[in-house]
Amino acid sequence: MTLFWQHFRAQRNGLFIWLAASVVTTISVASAARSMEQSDLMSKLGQAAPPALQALMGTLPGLSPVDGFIQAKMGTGMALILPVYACLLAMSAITREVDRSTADFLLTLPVDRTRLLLDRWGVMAANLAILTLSVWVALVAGLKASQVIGSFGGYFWMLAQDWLLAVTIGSLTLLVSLWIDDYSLGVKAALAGTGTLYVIDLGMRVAGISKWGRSFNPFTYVDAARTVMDGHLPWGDAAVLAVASGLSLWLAVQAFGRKQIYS
Amino acid sequence: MNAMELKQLSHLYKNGRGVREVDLAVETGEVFGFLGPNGAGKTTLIRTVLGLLRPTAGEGRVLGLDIARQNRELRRGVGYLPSDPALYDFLTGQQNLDFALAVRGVRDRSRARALAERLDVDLKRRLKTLSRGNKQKVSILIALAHDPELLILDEPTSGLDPLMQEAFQDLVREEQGRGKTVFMSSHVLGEVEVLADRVGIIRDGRMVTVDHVDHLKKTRVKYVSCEFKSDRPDLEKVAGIRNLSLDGRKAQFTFVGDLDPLLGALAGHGLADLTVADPPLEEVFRSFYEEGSGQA
Repeated sequence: MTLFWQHFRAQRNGLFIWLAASVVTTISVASAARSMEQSDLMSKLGQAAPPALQALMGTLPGLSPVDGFIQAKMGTGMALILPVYACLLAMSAITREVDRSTADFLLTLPVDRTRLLLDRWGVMAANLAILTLSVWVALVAGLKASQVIGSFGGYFWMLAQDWLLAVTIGSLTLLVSLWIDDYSLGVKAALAGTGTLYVIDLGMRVAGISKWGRSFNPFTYVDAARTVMDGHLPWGDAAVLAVASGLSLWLAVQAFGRKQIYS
Repeated sequence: MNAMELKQLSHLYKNGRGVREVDLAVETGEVFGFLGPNGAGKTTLIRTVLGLLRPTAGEGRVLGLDIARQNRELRRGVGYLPSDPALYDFLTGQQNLDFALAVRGVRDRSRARALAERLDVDLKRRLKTLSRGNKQKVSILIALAHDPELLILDEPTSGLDPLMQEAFQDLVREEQGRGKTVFMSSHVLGEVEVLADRVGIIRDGRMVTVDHVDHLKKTRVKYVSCEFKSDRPDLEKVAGIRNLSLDGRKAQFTFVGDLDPLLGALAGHGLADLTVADPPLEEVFRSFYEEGSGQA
């Protein structure tokens, strides 16, 4: 576990910053939920919008105003925030080591490359899980402090789905990062790619394109409103993300085993 | 068993540069100097041996282990000092050391403590606050702390002050005295001359010679000083003479090649005095490079 804990400690400061920002934001959102409970203004505004926009605005029929508000702000928001954090973590795994030449130090120790990559992936998944769980705890605490009753279990699964999406995007980023030795360039490329996929998915949903037509895009397999409504993960979509993540990780292990570290 | 044995080992980059068909055997317990200017392929060869780069042809064994298939195992017995300290600069020297020893599974820290004291290493400060020389000392400590069988040192004393360079040279001698093998790349020829039993010279990615330092100095280049009783011969026309300096009947030059033709050229001109001396390693090294660039 030496490699895992060494990298976990290296990411600790970043995790604290992300935790602080996310928890403060979550508590702010939770404290605003009470006003949504007492107002139907948003639902009136959203009734004429297409379902994808209704989901964004939190006005989908079948959801309580609070659930609609929470899934719109937290579910959809975290579906972008967590993948952004995943991109940074994935780029830190190998590319940053190569960029600052510490890969020379690391890879001339008797470390197994497969183990190293799996540990780095594990740190990414763990950091994302800590952030996700903290957001859920802050959300529940914030809502309870505001005396608002929501679908707490549904919110958990909604955030779990966002975590799974982030792990998938992180795994894809980790795979791609093995061909990029410049950390700064890699981060920009990963964020641009993730942002583009998010916008494409949003645009295709608003345009009413079927799920099959959007199947190439990991964001397709996240539906915060549906998950809150059902109160559990959509297992089929979760399985697709898990398989994509596993496949990316397997390909990354193969590629890293062959990667040459230039000075 | 040789500590390092390379057979026709190549690593070629896409631009065609790199190292080509290197044959080399480093004996257990020797200090081997690996010489060449920047860009000759020294670091590429070391990175290939350590598994950072893959051989494009040939094979190699280090400590009896195949460099392509058993690289992780061979790295257990190797201490590597890169030319530029590449440690985690957000960690202290102690944290870098602890990490390296933990990965290597070394629990006994007594050797590391003794070395740190001897090298006067500041382990409490973060690496980013240290000078290059102090970072280099931490790197040396980490390379030696697990008591490796083979030390691979790439430009080991760059950044060290003269006192610390001497301390480092003492350390290398001691390691050799304990039966350890040292493979040292450098372009500081004086250092190699003092420490190495044998040297290998690499030029444009090819190993051009491997020989004992003393033998190389004796056979390759000579400093020649001569004085004639009457008119001196036209030495400029003699092949192998360079750096010719003339002063009346006296002449001084360096000579590369077989001495017989030189002595033949000098004979019959009334030699009053002749001195033939071994040059420093630097001159030997230069002779290989001038030969390669067509100046010899």
